[in-house]
Amino acid sequence: MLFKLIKYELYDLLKSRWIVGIFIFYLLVFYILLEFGRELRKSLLSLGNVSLLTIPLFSLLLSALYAYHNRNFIEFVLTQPLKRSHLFVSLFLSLSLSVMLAYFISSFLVFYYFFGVNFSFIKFSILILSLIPLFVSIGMFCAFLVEDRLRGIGLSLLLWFAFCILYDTFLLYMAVAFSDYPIEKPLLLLTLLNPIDLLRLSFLVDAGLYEFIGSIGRPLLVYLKKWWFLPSLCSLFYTLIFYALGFRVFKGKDM
Amino acid sequence: MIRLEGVHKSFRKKKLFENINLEFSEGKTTALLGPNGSGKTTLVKIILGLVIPDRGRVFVKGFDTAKGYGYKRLIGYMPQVPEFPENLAVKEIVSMVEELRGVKAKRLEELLEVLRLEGEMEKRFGSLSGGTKQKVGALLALAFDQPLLILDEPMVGLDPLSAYRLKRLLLEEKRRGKTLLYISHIMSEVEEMADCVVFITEGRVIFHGSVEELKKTTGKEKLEEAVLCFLS
Amino acid sequence: MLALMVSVLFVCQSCELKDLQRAVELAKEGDRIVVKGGTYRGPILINKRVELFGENSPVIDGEGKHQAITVKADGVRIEGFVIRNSGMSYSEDIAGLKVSSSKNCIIRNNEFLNNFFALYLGGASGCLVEGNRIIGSAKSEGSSGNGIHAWNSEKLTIRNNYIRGHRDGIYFEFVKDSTIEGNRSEYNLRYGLHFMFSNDDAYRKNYFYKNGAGVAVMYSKNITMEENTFEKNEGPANYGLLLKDITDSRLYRNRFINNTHGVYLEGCNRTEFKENLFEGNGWAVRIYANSEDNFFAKNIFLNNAFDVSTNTLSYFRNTFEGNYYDKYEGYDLDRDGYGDIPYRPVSFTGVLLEKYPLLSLFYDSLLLRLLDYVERLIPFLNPEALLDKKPLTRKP
Repeated sequence: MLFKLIKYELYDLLKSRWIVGIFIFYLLVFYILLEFGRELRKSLLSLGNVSLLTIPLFSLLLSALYAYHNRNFIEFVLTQPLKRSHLFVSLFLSLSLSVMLAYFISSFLVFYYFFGVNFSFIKFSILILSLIPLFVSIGMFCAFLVEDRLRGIGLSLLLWFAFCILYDTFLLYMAVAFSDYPIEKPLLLLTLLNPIDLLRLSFLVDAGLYEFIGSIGRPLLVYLKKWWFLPSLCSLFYTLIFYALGFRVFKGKDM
Repeated sequence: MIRLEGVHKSFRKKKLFENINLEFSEGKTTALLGPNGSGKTTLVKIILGLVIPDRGRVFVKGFDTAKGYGYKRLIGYMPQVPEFPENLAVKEIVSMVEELRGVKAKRLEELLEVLRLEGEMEKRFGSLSGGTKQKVGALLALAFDQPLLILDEPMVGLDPLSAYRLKRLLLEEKRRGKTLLYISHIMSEVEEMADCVVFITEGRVIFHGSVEELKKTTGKEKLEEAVLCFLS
Repeated sequence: MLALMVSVLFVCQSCELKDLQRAVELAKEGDRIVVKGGTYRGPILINKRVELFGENSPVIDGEGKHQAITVKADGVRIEGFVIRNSGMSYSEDIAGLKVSSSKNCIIRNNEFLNNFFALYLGGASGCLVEGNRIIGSAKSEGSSGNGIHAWNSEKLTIRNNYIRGHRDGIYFEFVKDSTIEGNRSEYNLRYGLHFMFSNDDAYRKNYFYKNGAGVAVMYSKNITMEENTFEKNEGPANYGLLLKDITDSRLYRNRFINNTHGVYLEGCNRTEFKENLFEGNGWAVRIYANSEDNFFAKNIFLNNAFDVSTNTLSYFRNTFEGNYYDKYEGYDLDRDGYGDIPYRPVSFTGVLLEKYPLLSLFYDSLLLRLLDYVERLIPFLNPEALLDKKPLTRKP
């Protein structure tokens, strides 16, 4: 049942303007970035920067919009003989998979064109791709929590903003305000708790840049080089949380 | 066929239903009437398991709807505004519902012909007009030959000819012994089709009986006027 | 016919002369001693003008106890030896080869292995040190000495040597009028090259790679640094080149690649930086407030996290003119090769990090990039003096 649902949802999504748009967006952006900076490590860093910003945004918006847009369809499916949880899982999986596919194929094509197959890229992809389910689950959570479409989209944008900027702003303020106190460790810990910051730092470490400029957490961050997939596990952890929250809302929701 | 026992439901703090007790008997066609916002659609959604009641129980052919989804096999549902993934072709949507229900659609050819949908099967759902989407909704509600049909304003948005054809189809279903529950605001249609009328307002059932009884109670000749009595 | 009076002595295991020290004692001023392959025990003292030639890499072994060779005469020449295992001491500067108070020595094509100090020049003048391979096994700064250590000397030429694994690769203290050229100094514990109180020297075409703290030039005047490469000196207190209390010096055509700091200026005055390449550094040029009147022209800045950084916003007296910055986004409408709007090589992020190093955690975050961007649109804290009025629009 689950797979049947996923099959049709995925089929619908892959033909949708949004996914095609995401595909073309990354194809173009990555092509331009790689064309101008052909050095592998630096290119990965700038690809990482663009992706860290846009992937959460696209995943959130797509999943929230899809949930709102297909509200009547979701209702209809629920009148069919199947479990609510199956519908939720299928939506989550097909949304995640479709963004992952669009992102991976377009970045892979461009990357392959310039550098061929290489492990750094695989590593990089796994790290970035792990953000997609996280933000899909957040988007779905928002869409099922808030009835009103505009307010739901607003909430998801706010969450994106929080992850990408507000959180850092808060920490930056802390770092400046308490600069006379020994706040290195709590600051480092708080930074690592944000999956986007964690990924950004692991890209910096991987590109060797953090060794140049970083003054705190260096020994800890070096672990990121060895255990490069840790950020993905961190994202997975948050995904589970938001997935569970979204599922709770969905399960008891009046359609 | 359908029995509601002491159903309570409130949204946020607003009470919508207080202690609803209703029974829709098998083989009968019931029209659900009431002013806008009186909760007709919500009542239907409670039966369909889309809205979960705060208290009370709902049985469909003896199955407690709170205990499993199996009873949904018995129901063909046509929503007020049917929407499906817009990038799927109509025939893909049909096969999707077939797969979800685990059975093949029956009388598909016939339904397609009556509803004039033969030419639309290959088209993307998103490219269809509102009326055509409505017809796809009707097709999917009828195609699996379920004993219970629940229809939310089935004729709204259809051109007169299509509305007529759909009405014929529904009457035929009725003749074949199906139980029909539908929401409508078109009184001529109700008069023509319904055996029973349930009138809801402000979350309460204020009338449940046959059309004749309704006329008798209110002392009006026409159904339309009889209904107006409740509204004023 | 002086040559006829010079004799050659042979030393080898099967020769009449088996003992090197004995050969030195027998030799007359200006004699040549040819030493064949084999191991000879130190310590050897050379107190007269002789030339020592090693054939088939004879080894002179300090046996971990004493100085292998000590030179205390002028015009001594030592070529083709393997000098190893000097003793180690916390109180004395024991070396593989120590030259003290002598003129015009030539130390060439030797191999120094596992010494405390490898080559120690004290009070030397006019010596040539060329083509030696100097490999130490330093573990900690306290228990290791320098590769080539020169003290209170003048007119030295240190050329084409390879130095690895010592405390400092090359160390100069009170050395003047000398040249360091074409050496490669890498993986030393502290500095690849360390200059103290040494005026009027030049170093060119050297390669400094992955030294613990980079290269430090301190308390000196009139130094010429040309065409050197400083690469991969990584770490918070690590410098491609640290200039501390340096005056009237010149840095031309050097390359600073992938260092935490490319050049760090502290009390550096009246020094010219021209045509240097700064690529992939954390901070390409970091200028401490007490540095004045330095001049930067025609340098190339590529892919640095921060091109220029300083801890002062109000008092900045250095000039940047006509450099190339890859971050420059201006245009050149009049086509004179210079951008029409000035470039500010100090970024807001750079200033923030200078003040709050903790913020390095947020480097490259959207937040800091936005702040940088806003600051560039509406400059609110850049030192007005730190402007390159004529940024190059093309990489020279």
